[in-house]
Amino acid sequence: MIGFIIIAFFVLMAVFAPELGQNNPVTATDLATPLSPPAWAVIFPQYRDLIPTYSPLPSADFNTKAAIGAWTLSGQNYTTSFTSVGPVDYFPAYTGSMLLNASITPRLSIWNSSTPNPQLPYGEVFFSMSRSFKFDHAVGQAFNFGADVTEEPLTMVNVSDIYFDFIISGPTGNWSLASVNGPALQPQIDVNTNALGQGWNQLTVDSALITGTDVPGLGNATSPSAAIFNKTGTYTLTMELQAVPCQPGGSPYSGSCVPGTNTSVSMLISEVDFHIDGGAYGLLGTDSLGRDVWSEFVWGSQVSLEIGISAGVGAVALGTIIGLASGYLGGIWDEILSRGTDFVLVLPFLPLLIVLSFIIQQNPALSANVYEWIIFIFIIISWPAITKIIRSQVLTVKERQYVEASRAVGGGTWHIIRKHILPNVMGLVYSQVALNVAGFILLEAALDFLAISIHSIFTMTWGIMLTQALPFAVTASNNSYVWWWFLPPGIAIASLSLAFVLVGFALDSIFNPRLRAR
Amino acid sequence: MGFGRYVARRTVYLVILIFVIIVFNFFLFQVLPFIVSCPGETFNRCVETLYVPPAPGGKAGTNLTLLIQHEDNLTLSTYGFYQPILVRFGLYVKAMLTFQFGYNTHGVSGISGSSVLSTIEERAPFTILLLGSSLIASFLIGIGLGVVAAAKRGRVLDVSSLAVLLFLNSLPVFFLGAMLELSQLALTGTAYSSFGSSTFLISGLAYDEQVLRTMFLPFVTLTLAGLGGVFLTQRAVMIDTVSEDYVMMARAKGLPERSVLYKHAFRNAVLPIVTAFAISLGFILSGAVITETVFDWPGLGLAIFEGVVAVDFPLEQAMFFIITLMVLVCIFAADIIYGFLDPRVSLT
Repeated sequence: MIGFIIIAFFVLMAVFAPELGQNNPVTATDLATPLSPPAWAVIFPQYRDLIPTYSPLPSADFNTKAAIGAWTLSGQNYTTSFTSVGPVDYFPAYTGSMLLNASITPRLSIWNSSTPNPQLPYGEVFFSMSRSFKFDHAVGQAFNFGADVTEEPLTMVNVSDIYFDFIISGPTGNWSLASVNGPALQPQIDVNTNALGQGWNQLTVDSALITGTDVPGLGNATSPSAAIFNKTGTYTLTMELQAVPCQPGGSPYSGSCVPGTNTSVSMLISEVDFHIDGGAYGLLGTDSLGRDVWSEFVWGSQVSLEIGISAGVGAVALGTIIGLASGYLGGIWDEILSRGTDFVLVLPFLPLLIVLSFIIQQNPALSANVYEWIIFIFIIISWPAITKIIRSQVLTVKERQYVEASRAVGGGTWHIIRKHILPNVMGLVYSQVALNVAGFILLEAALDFLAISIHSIFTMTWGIMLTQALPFAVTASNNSYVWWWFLPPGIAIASLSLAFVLVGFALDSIFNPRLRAR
Repeated sequence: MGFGRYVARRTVYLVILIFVIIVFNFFLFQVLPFIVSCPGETFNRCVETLYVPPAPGGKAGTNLTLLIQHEDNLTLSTYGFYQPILVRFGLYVKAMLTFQFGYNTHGVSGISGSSVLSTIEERAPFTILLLGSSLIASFLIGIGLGVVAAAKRGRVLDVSSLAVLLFLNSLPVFFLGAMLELSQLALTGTAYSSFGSSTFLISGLAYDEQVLRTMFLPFVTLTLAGLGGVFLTQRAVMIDTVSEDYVMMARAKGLPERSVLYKHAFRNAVLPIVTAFAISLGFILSGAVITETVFDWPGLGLAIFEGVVAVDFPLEQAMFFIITLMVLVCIFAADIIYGFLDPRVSLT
């Protein structure tokens, strides 16, 4: 009974996986700080200080006029208006943006490499928007945060590049996140490479990529967030746009531009977002790459159940057919099939599995993207055990009176097998299916652990979760052994397998004539 | 039939099976890779799949390098690669039977070109030590628990041990191993140090001691993993046996319950367990692969795995043959022992 409930639970999970697991288990990384415990774990004292994953600036995308109103805008010479044009090929689609028109007073000889000014590395700040948020979580923690802007450049006259800078200012000082010292971080639109009218760009600054020298004032701090968000209070995020008024193709260092009266920029800004990838996330936390463990768990159930059930049914089907033939036909057929069965029975399964998997993997064309090969190998290895059981049952039934009577009346071979032998054997078949599925689920997990399983790289299974989680689990006493990552798949494999075994036992006690006779 | 005839029949059967295994092994390692991975005339991969006989002079060493880097026909034909398949098969059979397995193509034991046989000799004792001891332990405990549980059937001890062991049985072995490693870290504060790191540069008695100490965790894991199956089987067999007629007779005679159970029922119930033990001996290497990989235990199982990772066909070939040979011999031994213990078998 318990077995059925457990199986039903997992089957439902597998079937509804796409709804339950919103995040792609393999590709959606960095949803939160890697190795963070589940969101509900904050009820436990040691996790109470963890920061949740959220966006401190609500309504960060400019869907409505009011959304723009929440920001404080400033600049030289600009106008803004709301338009309902938004990036349509993003998910989720935005339905509004702010149209910015600015005319710029450029400066000559902006860049002097001996006196870099991190606030104005390349050009004039012609526009900025800022907004405040409260930070009242536990301070000094390590977490990831990032700022994004989604924008589309429309026209740039006498402007070659636009640089975006994100500045966080607050009780701990001013921090420029995308300063000149870290060119790799500098989000920008280069008018040479981003042809105008080519579409929306999403430019990002990510704290995980920041090292000490990138952000002035950070020094050798190992965790940007701990240093920046070191006090509670109100912080302000400011996004600044800097224009480099050079000839297209010129470099910011050349200063070879002629400022003119007509130096202007027009662009659409659809979203400015500041998000904190907190220390606690979701139903089951995150793994080492910041992926959602709950999604991995849910999608993994699909694979385990698919492989287990199809291999189980397949192996038992094959074994039953051969067992029926061998048991009923008797004579030379029986001899041959029995010897064959014994031979395959003797082969050690795991080494054979490894070797077959290994050989198939030598040919990449065969092995990529398919786990049907695994099912195939499982079936090949395990049909003999079932054959033996079925065969002995067939031998018993064959000698019964009604079979002899049927034969006497003229029933053909197939008729007898179908009508008399098969129904008496089906009970055993059901119980064997259940027991085999249990074994296959475990075997599949073992293969994943040995990294010789054959499946596409976009598949996530419980075995892979365990494999990836184990190195972190056994070495890290920080993060309390990442229990949220490796316990669920392990216990799921065990309980699913156990559930099938229980069902198999139950069916066995109903159908197995030896046990029934007692 | 008589016991002697029974043994003779089983022996003939064994020899036939060994031969079939050799053929199958040949097919698996020398023919199948060609079919699967050598479409057309690309011989780079195919060359490595072939059995490497010892070069004149004994050591494979430089000759091995010659073999892989140079593919001119003259060099290769010296080693028999382009010869017709029957000739290769003949060489192969001779090699398997004389245990001349050739040389590793990659550095499995850290030494490229070392002979497969020496790798096996190095690794086998460790596997036997770990798996043998845990097999014995799990059987002893399993039998003991099984008998007691069957005796007190339906009561607390039976139900609880049934539940616990069923669950333990369903846990993946590597998960169990990891949990144990973790609990060692949590309880004692020191991480589990694998064999390689903890026995570096130690020798003599200290070495033996360290080996045993490192073996403790894998030993416990394997014992716990194997316990479930033994317990369940023993319990089921005991329950079956206890409902036999002669037990009812013994009880009717007034014998004390203890004597009934342990003297009469147990002696007959132990037969399937003995055969299960002998068969398990043969199959321990299957389970060894996972456990040795988890704990980095330098045994045959880890050798198989390393061979897969390093694409070392001669090693894999030899290992597969050895394992199957072990399984066959153990099943043969099991049959003989069973025939010896149970007179009904040899008489039918």
